[in-house]
Amino acid sequence: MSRTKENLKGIALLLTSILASAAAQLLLKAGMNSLRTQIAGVGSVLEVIAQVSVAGWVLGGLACYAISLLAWLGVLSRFALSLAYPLLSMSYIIVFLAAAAWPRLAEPLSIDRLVGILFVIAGVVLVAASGRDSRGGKSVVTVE
Amino acid sequence: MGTASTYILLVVSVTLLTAGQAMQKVAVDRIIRHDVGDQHFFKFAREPAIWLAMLCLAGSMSIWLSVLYRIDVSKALPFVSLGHVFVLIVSRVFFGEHISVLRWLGAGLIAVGIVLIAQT
Repeated sequence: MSRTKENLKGIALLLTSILASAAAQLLLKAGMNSLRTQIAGVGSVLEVIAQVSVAGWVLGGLACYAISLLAWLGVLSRFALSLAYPLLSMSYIIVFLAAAAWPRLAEPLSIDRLVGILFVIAGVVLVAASGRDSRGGKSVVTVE
Repeated sequence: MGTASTYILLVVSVTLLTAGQAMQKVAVDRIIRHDVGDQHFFKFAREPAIWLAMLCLAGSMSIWLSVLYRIDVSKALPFVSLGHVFVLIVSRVFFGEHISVLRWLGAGLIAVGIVLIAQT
């Protein structure tokens, strides 16, 4: 397979890993939140239903983690660790935005936190750009 | 438990996380070296380095969660930034990767961003 094609495959796997890891975080958080409401409630039948729903969120989260991990191995087989690992931070950005946008979590957006996220975005852009420079080009694809 | 030991645990957790990433890299490199062509899931399952990596990551996660019971996330999160520095150092030292100024700068901005998010 050509180098460009391998690179594109690597990028697709990286995005899969990032999205799956963000989804895992959000699902686990949703599960933990419903665990909290479950503790507050009483009644045995409702409790069982609540427990099942918690298990559903948590299992979904763990499944996403597994997908993320498998995709990550594919990423590592194509890119240098020093390039791929910082790019994984894109999942923080997605988690931050989705936690605010998803009504189930509805976490408040604060300006302070947004500044931190902007730093992360700027960092990700620079690291991604470093994968394109000529000398870095040698380390971009670790496959000979 | 005292604060000092809590921070030692955080460093151990981040070190295990870094080791886990490094072992994953070792695993995929070994699989590729041994057979050129498509990698299959079962080849990963038979690679000892991958299980060592999972052990490191599981250990890191367990310690991390146990520390979060004791201290605030805002105090623990900067150690995630430390992980970014560790991974770059390991990439340089153990895998001989060339890390350009641009890449260090980018990783530095990410690390600062995480600290800033932690403070809010």
